[in-house]
Amino acid sequence: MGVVVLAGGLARTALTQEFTPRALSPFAAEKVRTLLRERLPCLGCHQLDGEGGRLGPDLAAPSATNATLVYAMIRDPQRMRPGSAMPKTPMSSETVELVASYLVARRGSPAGSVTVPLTRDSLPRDTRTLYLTFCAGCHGTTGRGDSPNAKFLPVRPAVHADARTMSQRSDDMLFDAIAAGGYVLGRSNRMPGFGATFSNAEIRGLVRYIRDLCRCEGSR
Amino acid sequence: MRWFALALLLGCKGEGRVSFPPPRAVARAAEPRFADFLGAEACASCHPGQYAAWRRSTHGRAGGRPGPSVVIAPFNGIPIRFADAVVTPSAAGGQYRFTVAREGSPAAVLRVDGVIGGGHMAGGGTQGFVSRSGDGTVRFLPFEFVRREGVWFCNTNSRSKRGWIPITRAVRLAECGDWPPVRVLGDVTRYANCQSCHGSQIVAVFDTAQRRYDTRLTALSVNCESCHGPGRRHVELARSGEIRRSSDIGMRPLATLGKDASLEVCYQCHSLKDVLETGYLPGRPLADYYSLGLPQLGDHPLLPDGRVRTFAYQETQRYSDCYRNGAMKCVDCHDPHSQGYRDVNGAVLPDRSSDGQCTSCHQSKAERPEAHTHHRANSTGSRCVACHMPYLQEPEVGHAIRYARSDHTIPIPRPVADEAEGVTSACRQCHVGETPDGLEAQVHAWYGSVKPPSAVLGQFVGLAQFFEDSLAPDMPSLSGEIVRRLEQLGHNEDVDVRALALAGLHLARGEDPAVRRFLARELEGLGARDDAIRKRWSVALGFVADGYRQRRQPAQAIATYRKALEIRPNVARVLLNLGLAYADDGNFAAAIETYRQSLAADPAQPLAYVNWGIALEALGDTAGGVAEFRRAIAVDPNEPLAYFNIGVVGLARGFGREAMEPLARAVALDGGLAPAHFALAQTYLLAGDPHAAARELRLGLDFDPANAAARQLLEQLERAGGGQ
Repeated sequence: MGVVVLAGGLARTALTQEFTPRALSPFAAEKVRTLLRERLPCLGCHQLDGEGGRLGPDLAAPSATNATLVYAMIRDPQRMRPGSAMPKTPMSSETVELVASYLVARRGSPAGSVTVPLTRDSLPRDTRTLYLTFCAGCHGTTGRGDSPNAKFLPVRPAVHADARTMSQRSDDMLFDAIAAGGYVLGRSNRMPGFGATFSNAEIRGLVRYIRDLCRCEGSR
Repeated sequence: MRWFALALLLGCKGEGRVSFPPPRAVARAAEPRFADFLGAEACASCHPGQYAAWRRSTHGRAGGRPGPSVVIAPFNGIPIRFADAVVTPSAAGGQYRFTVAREGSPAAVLRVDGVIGGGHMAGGGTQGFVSRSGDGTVRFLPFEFVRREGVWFCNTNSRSKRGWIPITRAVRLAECGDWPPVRVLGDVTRYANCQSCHGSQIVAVFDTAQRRYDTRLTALSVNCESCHGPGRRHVELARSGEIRRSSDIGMRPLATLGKDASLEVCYQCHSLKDVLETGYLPGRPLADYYSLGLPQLGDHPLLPDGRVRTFAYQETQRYSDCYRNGAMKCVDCHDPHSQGYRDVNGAVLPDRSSDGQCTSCHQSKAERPEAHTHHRANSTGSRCVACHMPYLQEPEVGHAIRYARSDHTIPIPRPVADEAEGVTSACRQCHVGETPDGLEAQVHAWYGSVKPPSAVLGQFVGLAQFFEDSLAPDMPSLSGEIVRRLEQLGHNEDVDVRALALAGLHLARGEDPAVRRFLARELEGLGARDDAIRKRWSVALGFVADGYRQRRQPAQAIATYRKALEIRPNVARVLLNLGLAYADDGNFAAAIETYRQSLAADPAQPLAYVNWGIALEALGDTAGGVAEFRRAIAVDPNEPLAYFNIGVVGLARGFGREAMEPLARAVALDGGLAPAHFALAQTYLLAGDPHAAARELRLGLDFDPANAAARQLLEQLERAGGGQ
């Protein structure tokens, strides 16, 4: 159970890790399902048992992806796959291990190790690219909340092009929603928080981008 | 349904008064029972990490048996000196005690059987003590200790109303509300109590076979099962191995609860509550046993924005923006096992002032903190909680003892509005020399116009105020607009708002055929909420009726109690109060019949027998009255009012010596019963013992200093030289 560091990479730029999933009791499995449905943002993009988005792989579909890569992607997708559209969701190490163990069991993932970079590659990303990569999948490329994925979500994504609604939200409210995600702000848990994925400057850039989409200014 | 339809039809034709449907049968779960709780040690072997964190936490150290590791107060033999008593706290052989010495009275020893609190709270931590009483109750002792000031103090609010004050030679013993000890552990309606929060699984019930209270508790700390519920099934499933094969772990998981269900776990104790039904144990539905809204009636403990007006707990969080417009739960900032601080993602934070509590949701404010705080980075004033969760002294405590709690309504500082509400604004807590206007101007300069204070509680406050001040039984009219508004609120999602609105309509216009039809329909449609709404509706009407009794308006009290009984028939306590209202009105026959009904609903009510006896006496049946007083004693041999009334009857009949013994018993059981002291004084005078009479008069005057007759008699005795 847990993660074992097998070896350091060349010039200590990476570590080879191996994740051993824990055997989950029916209760633990149910707890993970509840977390996925009601707390975590995963089903915004992935489906599980017919529920959830269609942007990412089906979480329960058989997969050759090894267990450690499943774990590492949950823990820090940008480190594993720089440029991936999957954000890092802050979770306790126990929750990461629990969710990874559940998914590995559902997907029948084989054992195996992966090499995890010690640091994230910082790719230059302009605001439009950020929006199209991380936001448009649900909010639509022009911010109309009309992406093909939207119909798989229990709550319609915010319409960033809607001046009336967006003008009632301050810039800081938009910042916080992007950074912290929907759940903690009492909105849909399917909206991930990007605070561990984007820099503050990138989030400010996205706020300005939304202002351009709505052609409006925020309330104070 | 058929009978209801018929009644409705008759009501429509104006040919009959619509009857209300009876309460739905409530299938009360038999579990959990007290035996289902195993104590924290049962959790330790499988959950060592959580157990160790809890053991070190404030919940784990919230109280316990007296001992060096628990007691912070000095039980060192140094006396606590009152104006009229010397109290010596001492410890020997593992036994802790207070010895109370008063001139003219034998020394009383109060054994300490339990310790409440450990002085842990940053805003002022205290420690109190309890003692197991002869009647089976566990009672709070009047002498408490506060860590910060390092002094003994007592709460005078029920007597001299000076708040919590250090004990000095200027304080009389009887100023302390817990002298003699009357406040008990557990939901005991007969006595003042702090419900079941100062310990774990406190259950206090009157045992009719043993004729005394049975007080059981698992611990005086706040243990695992206080939050998780009973552990018996969970442990059984774990021991059998079944827990690995089933999604049923015999216990409700807390980690995945939604915000309201999660908050309910904490509100078991961290909230003001009105008792709707006794016998609560963790794991039972809180709303079946307590109302969080109804305490607002009468005492008005909260301001319209949810902040504390008198005394309250952290339930004010539910009036915060973070709760109402977000998903904030207690456990988002407080680790439930360690009670340490953490951010919303579970990352451990160093202390209570850590910004991560706020910035894990409001990351925009962490971007350039000084741009938001306008205070130097890392200064005390730049902490989020310095402005948004300031420590506020609980107003009811007064200012002699620091007892401040962080403002969990998480407001924006509004210096002028705050001061107008009687709240020291967060700004002025540090900038003490500034005026509210000056501070307000600075806030405006930095932030522009600040949104007005939330009136989140305003609806309930307004409704409660209207209910109390503007409604009366069967008013000849009520404007259509008010009726419509109350009808609308009668559909509110909040059970307290809904019940209060329906109770208001019932009170004021319950005989109006249209309103009555509306109420009948509402009652019929309550469904799963039938019990919860009816309890609140009945309690609200009972509150109004109690007010009429206090204001000596028995006719209105009778009408209102009868309405309460329409909603929940056969509630022993309401029937007893209705009987008292009949007696107030001089209708002793009706009073006796109502006491009879009350006792049929609950025979374990010595006070019903006592009042039945008083009613018989009023009808001239003294022998019958005494027989009822003796029946009260047969139920509870520790009921002081039964002995008092037997003594008073004896005294009235001139049997001073026969009256002396029961009166002496009455004051021994309740030393705060001033009339018993005065009556006992009369028996001593009849027996030719003016010294003893004067002593009893003084003891009575401690608790009833305004009693002119007693004071006059004492002065006469002292002038005559017999009272020295």
